[in-house]
Amino acid sequence: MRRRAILVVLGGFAVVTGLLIWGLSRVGIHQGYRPEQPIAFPHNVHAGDNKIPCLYCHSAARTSRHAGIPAASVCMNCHSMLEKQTVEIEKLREAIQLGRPIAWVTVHKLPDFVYFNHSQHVLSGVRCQQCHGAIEEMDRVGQVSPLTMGWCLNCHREHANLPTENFQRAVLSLSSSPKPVAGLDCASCHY
Amino acid sequence: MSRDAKTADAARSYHEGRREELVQIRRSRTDEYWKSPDELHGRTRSSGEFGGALPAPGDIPPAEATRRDFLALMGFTLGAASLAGCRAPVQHAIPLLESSDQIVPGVANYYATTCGGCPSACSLLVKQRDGRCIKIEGKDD
Repeated sequence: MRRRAILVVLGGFAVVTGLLIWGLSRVGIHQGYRPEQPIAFPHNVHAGDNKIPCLYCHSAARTSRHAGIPAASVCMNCHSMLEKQTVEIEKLREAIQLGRPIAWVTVHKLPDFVYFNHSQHVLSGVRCQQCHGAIEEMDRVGQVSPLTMGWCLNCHREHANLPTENFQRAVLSLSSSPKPVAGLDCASCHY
Repeated sequence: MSRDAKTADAARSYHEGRREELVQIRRSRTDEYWKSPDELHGRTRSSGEFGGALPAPGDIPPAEATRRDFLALMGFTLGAASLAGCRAPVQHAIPLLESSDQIVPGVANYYATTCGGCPSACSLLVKQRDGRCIKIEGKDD
């Protein structure tokens, strides 16, 4: 009887310790983070049904390290002419009339010691869905990738090496779609 | 027996006698120990810790919850509630209201301007990013 009680206590202690270690290993990983936004913008309607290209709204991704969230005037490019009226569209119009920028909640956030440049990846031909998941099916954006260094390195290792042989290099330089060259040393991202 | 042995024997028997006397004194003194006048005159019921029978489970009334217990419970509840409410802080991304093709977040704009520190009016090159001037350099013409 007493020995069984000791075993139960030890088992409980082991379970709690296991949970603690697992939880601590996931600190800083926000996979599955799907916060409520001030305006419930559905990507599945805009990017999915209407097939608006990602870079139409997030145009800064072509030239800047930030992809950027579109200004309210980008929304009004279409919505000033559309008859569709919902509560959320009304919130957008109200924000513009009152002159208050919309405070969106950041979903994908990397720590400050990492330098991630969107334009490098977009211009190398990396599709948005490779890191951000199937955005065109989401009604509310959530983070689907862990965005850990190991996860980034999985792709970087695959695309790191430029060929050194002359023939391969000639093929690479003459090919119309440039192959991405991903840095694999520490200073590629931590500088 | 030798003279020394006789003395040793005598000493031993003397000491043994005295020891027996001591043992007898101790035995008799135990009977005469008393801790209260009642006990001295033989009026106590028993000599155990519980005078009489051991207490039955129904005899002791359950202890009421004290103020101390209430405060302890409140303290633990407060701690548990604050621990359960811990969340990472929400970060906001606030874009412009009116977009501009000149202003791209994260891309720097350079402005040629003049320094107003003294009448020399030296030319300056100002690097501005996200609405903030982050580098001012002199600009040689």
